[in-house]
Amino acid sequence: MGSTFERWTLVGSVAVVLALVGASCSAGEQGATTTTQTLVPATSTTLGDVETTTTTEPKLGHSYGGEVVVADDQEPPTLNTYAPGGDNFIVSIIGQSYWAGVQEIDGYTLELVPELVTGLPTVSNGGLIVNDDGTMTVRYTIRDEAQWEDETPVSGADFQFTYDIIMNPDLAIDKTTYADIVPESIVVGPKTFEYTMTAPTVLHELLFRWILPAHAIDPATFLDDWNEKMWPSAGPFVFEEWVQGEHVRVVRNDNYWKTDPETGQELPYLDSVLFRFIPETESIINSFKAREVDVIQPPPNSETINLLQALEPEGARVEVLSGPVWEHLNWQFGPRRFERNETSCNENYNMRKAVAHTIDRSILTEEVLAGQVEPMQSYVAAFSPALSQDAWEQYDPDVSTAREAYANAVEETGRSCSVVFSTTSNGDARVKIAELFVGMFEAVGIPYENDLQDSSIFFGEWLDAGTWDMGEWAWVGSPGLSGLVGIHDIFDPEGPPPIGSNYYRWGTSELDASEYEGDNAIYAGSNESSVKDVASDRFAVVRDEMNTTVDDQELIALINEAERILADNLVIFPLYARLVTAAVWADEVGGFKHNPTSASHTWNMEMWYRTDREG
Amino acid sequence: MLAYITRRLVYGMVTLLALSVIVFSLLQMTGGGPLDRLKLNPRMGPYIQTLTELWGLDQPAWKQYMTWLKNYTSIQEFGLQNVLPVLVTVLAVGATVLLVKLVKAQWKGLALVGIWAITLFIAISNTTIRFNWGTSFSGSGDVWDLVFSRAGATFRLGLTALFLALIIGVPLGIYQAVRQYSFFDQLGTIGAFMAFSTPIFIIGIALQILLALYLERWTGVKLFYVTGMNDPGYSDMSMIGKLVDTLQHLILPAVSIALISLAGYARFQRASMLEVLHSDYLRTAKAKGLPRRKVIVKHALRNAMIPVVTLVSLDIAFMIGGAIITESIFGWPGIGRLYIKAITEIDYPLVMAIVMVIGLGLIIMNIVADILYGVLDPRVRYD
Repeated sequence: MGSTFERWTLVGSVAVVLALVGASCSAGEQGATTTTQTLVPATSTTLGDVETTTTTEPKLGHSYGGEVVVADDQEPPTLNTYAPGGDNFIVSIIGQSYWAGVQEIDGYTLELVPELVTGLPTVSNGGLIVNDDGTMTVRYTIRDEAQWEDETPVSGADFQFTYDIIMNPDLAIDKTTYADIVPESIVVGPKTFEYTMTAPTVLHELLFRWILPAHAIDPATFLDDWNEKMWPSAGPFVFEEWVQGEHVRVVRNDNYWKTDPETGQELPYLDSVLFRFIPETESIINSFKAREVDVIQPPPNSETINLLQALEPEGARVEVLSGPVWEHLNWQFGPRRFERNETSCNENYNMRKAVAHTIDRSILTEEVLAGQVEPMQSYVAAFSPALSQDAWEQYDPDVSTAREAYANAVEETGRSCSVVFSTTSNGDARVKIAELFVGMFEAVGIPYENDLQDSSIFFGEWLDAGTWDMGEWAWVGSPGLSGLVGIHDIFDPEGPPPIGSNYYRWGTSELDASEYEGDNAIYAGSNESSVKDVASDRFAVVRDEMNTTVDDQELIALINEAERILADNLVIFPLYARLVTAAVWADEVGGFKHNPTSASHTWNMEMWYRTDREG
Repeated sequence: MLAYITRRLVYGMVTLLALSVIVFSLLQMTGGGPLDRLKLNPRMGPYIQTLTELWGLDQPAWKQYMTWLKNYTSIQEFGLQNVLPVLVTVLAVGATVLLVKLVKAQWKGLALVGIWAITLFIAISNTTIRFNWGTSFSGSGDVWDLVFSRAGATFRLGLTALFLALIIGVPLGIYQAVRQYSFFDQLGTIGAFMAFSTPIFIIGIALQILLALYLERWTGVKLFYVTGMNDPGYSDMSMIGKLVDTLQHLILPAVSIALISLAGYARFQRASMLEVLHSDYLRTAKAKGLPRRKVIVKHALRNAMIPVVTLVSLDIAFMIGGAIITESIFGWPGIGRLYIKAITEIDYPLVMAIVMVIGLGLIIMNIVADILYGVLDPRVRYD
């Protein structure tokens, strides 16, 4: 019996192998004939013996209906943007479908544009008024057509309600900037909303990003139960269901108030959008290849980009853009850097200059970003490329300049200066950079060492304590002037940990440790900067002015000056902006345009349509 | 027997307590905290302070632990939906008393476990109970709800994988032992080592590519899905459609887990069977002229199953914790995926809850395994 069974097993195994080989061969043939679909419908007409082919004009307008499936590796912890965890990027990606606020980010210009209001408030259009008493009044006029899904018009009362919810002391909601509104100053109209802030600030841009419907929310349960139903939508879609661990589905808002500016058609085009959560990158790509999902935003490594671009002949479109996350090299100027590197010379400009000329950033972008973007010449580019002066262009890679600067540093400090580089060990890109640095520093002759750490410790402990010598991490840029003003807080000489975010301790003074407890006392006692000079003093003044200036032109001048100070003094050294990639099956989905900012690739989902339903 | 089970349960509780202290300490020692991601926003200071106070993160570690322990063991909500829980508990007690007096020692343990498992299932199904496991620090809501909303998916995947591994692995091991050094035995051994030595993520991805991606391209028929547990339109499908859809999503992740377990069971079963086949009592059985089938099934298999029982019982417990990597690869909405997310986000309440559920599962399954030894081997006594 056994021998018969074994014989059949052998025969079976051979048959399976042959079948697989055969299948592979036929797959190769099939793969070689790729059919390309045309979006322009063609009609063939036979007139007697003559066959003519006429190409009709593409139909103006798009078909309604269908569903688009978007995959993401993250699942939102909550769908309530105001709840803890609501600041997660994926919450915003999904929220684009049903939220609405004062402004949104245009994916073409990457500028802020009005959404629920008729125009963004500025000094010139009278929306911003700097009062004689040093306060600032902000005025919104709400669009007449703006309404909730139940056809209730969006009103000033909704703005007031949103403010009240955020400022409710019983609710753990981020109240930053809202706290600067004078409550008594609020004036509510049916289609207007006005408030006064304690001082002029461009940070008003950050307020009222998501408006809540006053008629549909009970403040008492605001943070509790919205994940199962979500409040009435003012966006193109309405929340339908969230199956934990699997997907969120949103369906068309039949009462959406926007129309397609090109075709005049009512929006949205799609019946529904499904957000699927697939944690593994490989699986997301495989799902995309299997057309189980239509839109993905995979990690932008060169391997993935190449893999996706290989699908373009089959109908996929891959968009690779510079994103808002910018990596930078930095130096620790506080006293605890010596715990990491006894011969740190960060306080010496020539030492920093030597480092800057040692590093060839084009090699970094080539190796880490597959050469898809140029090195970053200013952090300003991550916020508003048009305003960037490319102030770090002066530090081109040059071994002889680096050697000379290093020799000067050694002479000026009287120490055998060295570099210990620290960053997180979790990500491939940073580890790769650390490896590349070894060769670059060796070529110049600067003693160099890598000391990488897990991100939880690097961000959780080292950053606050200032126990690194030369570091690397990223900040996130955002469109609008408020982002640019806000980013300068991290260089505030008056804001070291634990009161601020100047982790570099550039120009900072010692805080009185006795006023703090626990770890905070330790951080407070490690802030005496080794660099406090005219530049850091001037920067403090510029930063203060920036925070109280609302006139666009004045603000831009201040931002330019701040950029120059940071570049000329090499407080930081921008490396590159991380890529943001998106891929879509363009033969099935139209209207897609990637947006590298926080608005994400779903920013214009109301414009998406199924091309396979066209014609 | 009862005393033994009680003793093991008490030891189990102590073990769980120790486990909770160790895991909590490790979470504290790893550095970083759940609010670290907010720190990189320069304007989040006051918000971080609010959440720190709300979640008690400003308290000393021991105080945080005590608060967690108190909450974790306290019942937030309890109520009987009907009288069934009381009724089955009374019946179970009566049956236990009768069993202790009437049933042969070696079956007693298994019967008791069976009765109480059914009793617990009925009681829990008809009871509204909820422990105060706290709120997720990542904002994902109530931890009790989170864990149990994922339990069904994990059980579905784990039990299917276990079923596949058992029905293939055990007979395979037996057959290999009986036909030692045959072509089939060699093939099985090679296959087992290959499955063992291949990381599960490679098996998972390979199955996706071969059976979900290329098989569809080759045949033009979608037999399996790359990810997910069900089609988004599952609720609108017919009964048959639902069954087919479930299988199309379930087979690949279940097979990827089963392959590794299967290889383990086959190897263990083979080794154990070989040992038994060469023992004296089996030679005696053969010499008495018993049919080969009876010798193998009745006399050899029972003893040869003992090591496999240990392996299977531990496997079940691990499956409660979720096949962590498999769930991530196949986008399966189970506890394992939740566990990874919780660790990544340093979500203390969620990590602790899942670890304790896995720990509890391990302890229970160890007790079950010990009782099964007694069933399989009459020499085992529980004194």
